[in-house]
Amino acid sequence: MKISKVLIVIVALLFTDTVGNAATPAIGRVVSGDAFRLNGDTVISNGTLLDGALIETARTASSVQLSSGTRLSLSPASRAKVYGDRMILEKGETRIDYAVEFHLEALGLTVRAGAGSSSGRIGMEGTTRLRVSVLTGNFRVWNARGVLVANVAPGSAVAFEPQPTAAAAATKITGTLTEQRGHFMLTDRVTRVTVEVTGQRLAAYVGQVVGVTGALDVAAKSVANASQVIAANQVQPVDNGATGAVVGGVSAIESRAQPEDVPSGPPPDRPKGPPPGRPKGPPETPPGLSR
Amino acid sequence: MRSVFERTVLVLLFGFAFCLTIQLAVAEARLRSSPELTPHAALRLNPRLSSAWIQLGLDAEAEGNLAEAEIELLRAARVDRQYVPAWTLANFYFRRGDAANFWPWARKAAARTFDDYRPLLRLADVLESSPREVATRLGGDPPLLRAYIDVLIGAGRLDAAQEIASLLAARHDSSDQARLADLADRVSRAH
Repeated sequence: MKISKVLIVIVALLFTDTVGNAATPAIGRVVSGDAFRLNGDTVISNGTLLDGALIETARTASSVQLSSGTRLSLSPASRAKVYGDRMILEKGETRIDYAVEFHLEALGLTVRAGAGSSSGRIGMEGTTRLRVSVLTGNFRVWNARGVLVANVAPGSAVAFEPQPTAAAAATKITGTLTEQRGHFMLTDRVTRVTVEVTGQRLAAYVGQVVGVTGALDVAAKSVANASQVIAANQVQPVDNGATGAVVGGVSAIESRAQPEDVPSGPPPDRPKGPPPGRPKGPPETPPGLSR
Repeated sequence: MRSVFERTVLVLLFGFAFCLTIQLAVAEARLRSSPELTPHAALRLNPRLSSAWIQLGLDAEAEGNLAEAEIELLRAARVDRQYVPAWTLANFYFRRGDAANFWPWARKAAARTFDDYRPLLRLADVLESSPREVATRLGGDPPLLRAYIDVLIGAGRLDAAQEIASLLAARHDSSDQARLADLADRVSRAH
């Protein structure tokens, strides 16, 4: 009898706890040293993020921590929508410090940081370009159709500009042509994307640095370890290193990492200064596209 | 006519309050201008610096030390009975899914809001499905009710807005007539 009473009490306590701490719809939080806008409202110091929260920073950066463990900061004068697994950058720049199953979308492109310790800055340049600079790890970029357009390596920065829809398949790449079991492969120097090249008289260029102009063959599937197949309509040897490329209808221009791209100080969840005290690795197809 | 003693006490009290205010302002300014100055160092300068307690609490929460986070945030609220500590605690409990602790702090934040009720109303509205209950739990002051009507209209929830409008109408404040008429107009157009 006593044991059953004890059991009843334990069950009651467990139930009370469950009721008192319901599942929360919060996906994370945002902290800033200044006022910022959250879903169009003025918020001071910090706030809670629900799925699809719109954050707009003014003079100060805001740091975002998601329940998944992803940490990032939104630079001053930036605007982004934040979901549990992604951010849609509409304006300004963000710095990803730690990513867990997280990707960024902007200008129809999808950027995914490699597992865990990959970090970098992603920012809009004007209204047509997206700059991705990688501090650690690597970032992959896909176009709107799910075609891999770049692997950005640590210490490098690449600016991407999607071309008009009519040129969505346009490709212009540079690299050393190799042959693997009868297939011609090329890794572009700027985007570091490996493609299979098809076309006439390619064997003559094996081992040479060539520039290939062609179009993405959507129907074809590479049998080698390439992300895509390019039907070449022009192949010619080149001497100097390329600083630009077009892959999957997205132009990519290599740029030097800027001083602010270098990691500085402690990251993430602590914005500069305190909150004010007074109220005065990834699959070839980006997850966001495959769902 | 006050005695010399009374005047001396008043001068001393005023001086003490003045020094305290200056000390608080200096500590706050130093913490803001020196990102490398830790909250702990700032609190050594002034233990009543609520922003430093809040920062410690948020840092602890980020590290997963929820008990410590709660203690630091409650300290912030103890030394500073204004809006930000109450708002921060309401958010902290919201993220924990702790409704029992959310509502008292949300109500305090509502009572201390100087400007925008909407962020608080949006959180409360997620936790409680009855708009009337939300309004009641947050104190039901007319400015809060007006803001809530705006939030609900913005969300396209005209029926809920009408429910809150009835609470506002019961106050018989003529300055609300235009707002209530506008809502009635929206409702008639929607039907």
